[in-house]
Amino acid sequence: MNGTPDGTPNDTTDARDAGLIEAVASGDRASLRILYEATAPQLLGIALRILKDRAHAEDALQAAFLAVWRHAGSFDRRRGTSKAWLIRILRNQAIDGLRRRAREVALDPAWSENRADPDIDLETMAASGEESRALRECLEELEAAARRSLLLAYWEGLTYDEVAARMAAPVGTVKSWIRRSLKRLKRCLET
Amino acid sequence: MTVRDPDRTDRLAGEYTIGTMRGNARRRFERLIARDPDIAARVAAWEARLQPLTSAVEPVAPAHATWQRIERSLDGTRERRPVGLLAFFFARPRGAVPSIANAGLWYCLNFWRNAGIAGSLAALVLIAVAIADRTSVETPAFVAVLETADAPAALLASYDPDAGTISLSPLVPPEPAAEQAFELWLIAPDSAPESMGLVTRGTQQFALPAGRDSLPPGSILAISVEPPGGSPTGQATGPIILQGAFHAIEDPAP
Repeated sequence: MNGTPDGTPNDTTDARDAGLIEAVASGDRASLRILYEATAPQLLGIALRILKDRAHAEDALQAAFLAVWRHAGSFDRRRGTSKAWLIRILRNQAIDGLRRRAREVALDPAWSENRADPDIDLETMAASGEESRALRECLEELEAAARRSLLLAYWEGLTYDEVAARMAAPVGTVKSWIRRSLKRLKRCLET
Repeated sequence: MTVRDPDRTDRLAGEYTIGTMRGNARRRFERLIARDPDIAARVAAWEARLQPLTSAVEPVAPAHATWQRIERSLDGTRERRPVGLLAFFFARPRGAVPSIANAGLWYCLNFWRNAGIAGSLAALVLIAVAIADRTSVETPAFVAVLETADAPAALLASYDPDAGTISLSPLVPPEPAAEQAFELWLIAPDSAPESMGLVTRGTQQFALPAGRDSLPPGSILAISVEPPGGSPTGQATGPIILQGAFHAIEDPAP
């Protein structure tokens, strides 16, 4: 998962990781170990960004690699990159962790208040690569409230109801913001 | 999803990817991804569109304990392989596709297919010699067979605990292309891959990486493709073509 320095995907790395996942599917533990060495730091960074807590993020990383071990057979390199597959598994685990955690801290309103605004990610994306710049520009074309709703859903694992509560807006409005944003993003990135 | 409306399918794929889809809906959609190539492709496209969001995230090195916890959980999900000498060769496979990780060498089709029949016999002799050599000493010996599914190559590594060296013998030597070198890496459970040097033709002795006085249990050897002279960064930069884990030939003391 080590992309080239500008953040664009690296085909060689991806082919190697895809080969490792296929070897893991046949029960090869050594390949799981090598895959972990190559990809765990970036996956942990993403888990930490979602969960905001080191111990919970490491738990999500552990759960993700157990899922990789069990479900490696469902990986198909014709259907997407190894990196996207790994990030999907990690995000699913992190979002599950977030929901368990939300139940634990439901009585502590300060926890959700203190979370960083996802809009700041747009600043860090500026420096990293052609694809990042295109996505950033397309995100910036959205209305601020629609963009913030979409990024809240992505980074904090919120449902429509939860985004609506955070944005103090009706659920129907949030739903149409996000759905319209998805359509506009897709169109914008295609041009 | 009874009516296939491309706009709706695409919207659902987007909602799945950003994570607003939850609970039963999410699980149903995951089953659809698994069996419907069109939906899988749409999800993959959404993941590719949004992936730059994650590439802006700084990598964080995991705690050593995290890998150890993963390994312990793996032990819970699959039986430990036997490590006796007979088992090393003849353990019955426990995976759909036998590999050295879950079966005796005898059952590892990849290994024998790659080696070829004549090569196999030579390999068997070589391994037997290596093992006879090792079992004559009192300390347990460790061997690793380095192989892959697609490269027609295999190497045998054995660790000599007294000398602190790893000897690498080609069973079917890998062939570097022009402008390529092969580099050997030791991957211990508690650290990043450490270079052991370049692999040449013929049997070679490698000293353990600087700072190590014994082979850490659970170590893996891997060979990567690098530019001539080896990796310029100190980390593997090319694809791993061969790899294998060390196994004790005698049962280690409990």
